[in-house]
Amino acid sequence: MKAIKLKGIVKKLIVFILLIPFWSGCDYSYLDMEELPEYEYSSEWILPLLKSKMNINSLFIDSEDQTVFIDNDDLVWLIYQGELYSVTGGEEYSISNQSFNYDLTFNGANRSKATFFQQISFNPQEDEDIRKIIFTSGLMNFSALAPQLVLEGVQLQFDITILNSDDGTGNPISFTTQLAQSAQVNLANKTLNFAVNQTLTVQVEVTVISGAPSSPPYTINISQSFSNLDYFELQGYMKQRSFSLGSDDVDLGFFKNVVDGEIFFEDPTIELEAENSYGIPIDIHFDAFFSSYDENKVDVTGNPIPDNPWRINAPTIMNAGTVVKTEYEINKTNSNIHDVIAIMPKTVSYDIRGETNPDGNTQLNHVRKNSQFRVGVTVNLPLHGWLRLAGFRDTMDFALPEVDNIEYLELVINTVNSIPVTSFLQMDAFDADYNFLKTILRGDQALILAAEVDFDGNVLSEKKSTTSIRIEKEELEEIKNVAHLVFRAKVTSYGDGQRNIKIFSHNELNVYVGVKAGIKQVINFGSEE
Amino acid sequence: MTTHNSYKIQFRFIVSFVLLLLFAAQSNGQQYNTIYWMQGIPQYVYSNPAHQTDANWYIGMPGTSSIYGGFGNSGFKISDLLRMDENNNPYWDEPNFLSKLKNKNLVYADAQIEALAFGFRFKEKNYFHFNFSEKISAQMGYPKDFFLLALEGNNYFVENTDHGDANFKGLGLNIMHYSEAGLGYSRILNDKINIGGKVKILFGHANAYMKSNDFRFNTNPETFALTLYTDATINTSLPMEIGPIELGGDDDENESENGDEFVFDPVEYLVNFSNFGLAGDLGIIYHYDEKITLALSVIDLGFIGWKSNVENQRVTGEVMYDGIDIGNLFALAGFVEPIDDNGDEPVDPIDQALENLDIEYSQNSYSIFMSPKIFLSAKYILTEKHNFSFLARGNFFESKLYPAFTLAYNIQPIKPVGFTLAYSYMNYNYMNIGFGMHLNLYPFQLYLVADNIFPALQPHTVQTANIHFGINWVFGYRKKTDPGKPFHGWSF
Repeated sequence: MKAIKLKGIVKKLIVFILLIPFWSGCDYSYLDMEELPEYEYSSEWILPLLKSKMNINSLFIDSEDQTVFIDNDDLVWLIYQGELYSVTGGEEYSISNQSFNYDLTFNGANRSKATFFQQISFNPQEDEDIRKIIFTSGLMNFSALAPQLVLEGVQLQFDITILNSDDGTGNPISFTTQLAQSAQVNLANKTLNFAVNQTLTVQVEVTVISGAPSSPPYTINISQSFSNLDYFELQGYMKQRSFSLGSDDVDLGFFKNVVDGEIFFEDPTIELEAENSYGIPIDIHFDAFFSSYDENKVDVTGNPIPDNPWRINAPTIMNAGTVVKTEYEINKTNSNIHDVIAIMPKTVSYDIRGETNPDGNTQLNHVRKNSQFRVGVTVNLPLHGWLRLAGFRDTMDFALPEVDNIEYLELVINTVNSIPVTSFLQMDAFDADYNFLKTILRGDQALILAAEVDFDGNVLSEKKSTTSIRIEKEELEEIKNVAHLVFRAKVTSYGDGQRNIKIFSHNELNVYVGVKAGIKQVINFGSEE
Repeated sequence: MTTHNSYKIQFRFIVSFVLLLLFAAQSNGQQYNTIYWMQGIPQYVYSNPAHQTDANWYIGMPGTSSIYGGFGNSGFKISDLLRMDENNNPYWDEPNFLSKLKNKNLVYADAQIEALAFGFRFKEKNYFHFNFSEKISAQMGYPKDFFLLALEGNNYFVENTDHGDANFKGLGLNIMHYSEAGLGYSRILNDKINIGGKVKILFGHANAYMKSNDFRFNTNPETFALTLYTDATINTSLPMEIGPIELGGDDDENESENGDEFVFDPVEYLVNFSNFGLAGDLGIIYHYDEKITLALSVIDLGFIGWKSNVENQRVTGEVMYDGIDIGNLFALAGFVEPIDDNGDEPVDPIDQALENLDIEYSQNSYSIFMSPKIFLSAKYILTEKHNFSFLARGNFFESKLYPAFTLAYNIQPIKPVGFTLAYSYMNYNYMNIGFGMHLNLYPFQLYLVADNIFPALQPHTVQTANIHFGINWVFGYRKKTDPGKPFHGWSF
């Protein structure tokens, strides 16, 4: 009974299963290509387009005019330098040729010796009071003439000694000559010490070495000259002179391309540095000292400097030949430097003059041929403050790919910023002839957000931002002939420039630009009509 | 412990051991579900060497004794993508198509032709069989993320952050052509147990194999950088030499320096015995009682060692493209002076990115393990002529299991005829109706088996399709003597 029941169930099951395919029916319509509906392929792709990674080293680079300095606190300083040099001692002070003629009255008998002391005075170039000359070169010529004695056949010997001189061995300069002969002495490495009014005493010893003078007194004409004089060092009182160092401009590259805006540096300084190897007290005068930007100009004023002369140090006679440094800092406590920088100057200009011995003859001067003084002007801008700046620059060449299957393009700009500066960037599209096509990126929307700072201006955390610019297919048609992109930028420090910020060397800005494109393509499988 | 219980323990041990082996396997995809209990067909022993066919001896018609072709796709069927609306109008349904895909999917195709086969019974309890076959198989694993990327674009992965990278690790390929010479033996141990085994010598002719250890595509949401991570191995043993893969540079530079044209010699190709392999089948049948029979078999435990014309390419590295570096944006905007690039030639960013890809070329022999298939089945004998059976089969490819289950009704109403109706769950598809039949027109036998008849009716619903047919000469059907032996007779 059970087997019969099972057989019946099995029979029905078999019939049921066999009929399944027929219930479903044959269906080959899916294989008919001509019946296939059109397929609309639609996808969305995001691709990297541009990237820009900047740290302070790429934002500010060392150049001829600019030096980037990182202090011990990692704060970035921008440093701009200029300098002026004075003329050298050799160019300012010289010794002219000297010529002396004097007569000696000789009453000498046969084999006698007479000693004469003659004072000669050097004439300085100006009205210096020279007390010592150390020569590097020069010639002293000496000749004695006495025609009467020559007729009588008398020969005289002259022993000449320049008193208070040094021939380089600790002995006075001396030499011997004879009547009607010329003597020449090389003055290299020899020293002349002068008494008041640049006088020298020349000791002349005259000795009859042959013949017999018969009718004294005789007049001996002495001709003594100093020529081709070049010195190593001059000592004395060089009187008061004015050295014009000329003028110079310190180019502040930071503001080079700024068009408009405001900026405030918390602690800008102008460092003055003088290096002096003249052994003469010098006052530096700033005949002009100002910052300028186009028509705007602000004079640098400060007390005591530059409103008053700046006394620079000089090497003493014991330190002759060395360079002595004098420094002075113009800062916010002693000057109007904030006003000077506030106009965002392209240059800081100065015109310097040096006045020697401003207090008169108060100390022994010494000048070497290579003596010189230099005045350096350094503008220091530590990046601590606030700013609201705008700048403009040229273009980047750019071309769009084929846009037929692109429904839209979306520029996505991601920034990761640890610099406390907000940036606004406007990007305009121009064709090959620089005809304006369209503004792609509006400049009134912040592209890069400033990193947040504390009340001391230190960055607390980096800031990320995302900007999307969607360009629909119709707009793509407007700019399909784009050939150039023109950028205009505006930057403000954190808090819209209402708070101080600090920029450190480890701050950086990364910008990533991607393009999101919606692709759409319709595929028809049917036969072409 | 009773003999019955000890057999149970051994049975469980064998099942566990074979399952472990499957985890080291590569699949070749051939399917024998419906044929499993069709004992009238001599080729049914290929799925369990412990089987003994009805005929005392048989000879396969040379070249036509076993012709098999199969196709499968675990990922989707046509009607998952092309659907009908309420008005019976077709439309493309991408979301539905993507929802059907698994993370890793497999598509395969294989074919087999038996050149020679014969078998015979020896002294009642022993059965020997031999076959020589040509087999071609191709499997390709494809990941869902591949289609996601192609159809949705990479922005999908940027917006769906929980998804992670587009992961193509399931991408793999194994194409193989080999010859198989097999010798099988089965023995009826006692009333309860049949055991069997088969040794197969394999000769590989061609192989292309790709495996990816790491293959990911990443789009960085912050920088938009596109990065391709790759660690893939490509092994080939082909009649022609491919040479090292070169990326970037001019196409002219990448042309082979060997200007000789390749000439294919089919004889040389087919008689290439350099790529030697060995495989084995094991099977056991346990007659639990008069009604219930259990069977376990493991097929294709083995490997082929590829030695001739082998080439290995290992591609590793990261290829990244993150846009054109415009340097100092503030210089562009005019706030600072641009850094002088000294007039250096700009570097092609694509070429620069490809330099990070390392391609290691070698010519080392390699082995590919065959894909063992494990069959676990139970048969319930309804009557002498009817039985139901349940079969579970497991295939592995790229570390993923592709299971299949079949419920079959087997009937042999009269001596020369047998039918099987089967319902299968395969490739994640529930609509697989299988059919098998053999017809003995003494001494010829025609047979036809298919795991799924729907390809002939509604191809758009199909993820599995195969057909197996052939002609044998069969002799000496045995009369039914006891339950342990094959039976024949008509009763309904």
